[in-house]
Amino acid sequence: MSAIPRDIDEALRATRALGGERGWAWWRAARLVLIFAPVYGLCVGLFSVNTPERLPLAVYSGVKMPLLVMGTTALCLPAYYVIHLVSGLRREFGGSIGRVLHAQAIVSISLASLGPVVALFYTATDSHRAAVLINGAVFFLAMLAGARASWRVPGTRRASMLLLWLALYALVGTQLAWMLRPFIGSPGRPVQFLREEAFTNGYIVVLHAVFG
Amino acid sequence: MLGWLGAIDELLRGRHTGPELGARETNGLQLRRMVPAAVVLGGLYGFFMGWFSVRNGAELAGAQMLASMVKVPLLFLLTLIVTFPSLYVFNALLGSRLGFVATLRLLVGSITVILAVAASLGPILAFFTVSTESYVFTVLLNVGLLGLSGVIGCVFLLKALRAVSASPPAPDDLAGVSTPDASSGDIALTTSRVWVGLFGIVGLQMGWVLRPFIGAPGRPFELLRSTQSHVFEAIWRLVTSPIMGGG
Repeated sequence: MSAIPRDIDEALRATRALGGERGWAWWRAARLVLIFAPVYGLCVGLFSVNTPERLPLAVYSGVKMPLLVMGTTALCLPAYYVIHLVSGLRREFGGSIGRVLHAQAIVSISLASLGPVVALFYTATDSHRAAVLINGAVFFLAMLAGARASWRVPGTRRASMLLLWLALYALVGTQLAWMLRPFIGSPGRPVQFLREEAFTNGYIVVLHAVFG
Repeated sequence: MLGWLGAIDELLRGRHTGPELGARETNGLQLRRMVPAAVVLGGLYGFFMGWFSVRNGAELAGAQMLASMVKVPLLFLLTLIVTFPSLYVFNALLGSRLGFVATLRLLVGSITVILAVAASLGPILAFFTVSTESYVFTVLLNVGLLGLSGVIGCVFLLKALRAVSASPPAPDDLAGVSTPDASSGDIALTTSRVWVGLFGIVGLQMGWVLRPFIGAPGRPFELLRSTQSHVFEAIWRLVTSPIMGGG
């Protein structure tokens, strides 16, 4: 068990994880994501838990958060591999995956560390809009922390690969997050793992909302 | 008991947080001494806080006093639990040399400083509580005294962090693959300033969640009130209330 605190410290300080050819062993990063993403998910889901019967909502949210992170990764991996092949970076792929997962571990730990702040923020308001805003801000901060670690990657080609990954990840992640709703939940809506309209396109819904 | 007093005395004199404070030299701030000291000092302040309801002859005033004695240390420790993870994570991300335990020790030490100052202001609080009937005045006085203690504790923390970032790195840091760049100490200090602000805001809201501390006259004793609102609008209402010091 003492390996995990050491991993956390190493992941955050990025002393060994980012430098060098090989990057970090993928399972060490994956383990951190699996531990910390649920912590944040649980805190996010507390928003609409006003009676004990609604507690499953927070648990669902805790289960879905690592699904979101890991699911997006799984969906993006094949394309990322092919891009590496085409760019002649086949040998770099292993290290690349290590770095990608490492950045996600940083994001997960940052999210989890702000989870208690989010939970306390919920005591101050019942506004759904405010809840969305604080979580957006927390996500932004965590992404910034992950991206900052990526900027420190040595070598332009490796760094541009990571930027490509971020673009791909954002595109897929947004849609998967839409499908895995509700994370925050609304007190007026029933407790459910997924909404009925899960298999719709989030981008089109947003476009409709903006342009009518 | 004398061991605690000695530890608090050394803490307040800054024995453990001077220039010699390196990343691994927070050993003077032992958690098993600091946490009980914080609980006792906070309880002392809570005791003086509870005088208001006793003085007003409220029903269950003793219960209110007991609740305050528990809640004051709880307020600070819970606020620490809420804010500590993010301070540690962002400090580590920005390359601060403080490890997990060292950061925790420094923060628990700061909280002990805050509560020691608050407890030392307790007799003043008790004096004013005995000589005023105004609930609004008592609330504002408590906010002011705790605010003053908080400011002193934050100055203590920032001074200690400055000592850490100024001290030369430990030998095995130099052996690391990528040592933090020279500006990382300053960055860590900036995060800490932001964090001090966060600690203040979270602490205010936590205090609001844990109400009542003082016990408004005419309201029955409750362990916790279950209204969902935030502290800032409440402070604004108090400050702008027309009966400041009156009824």
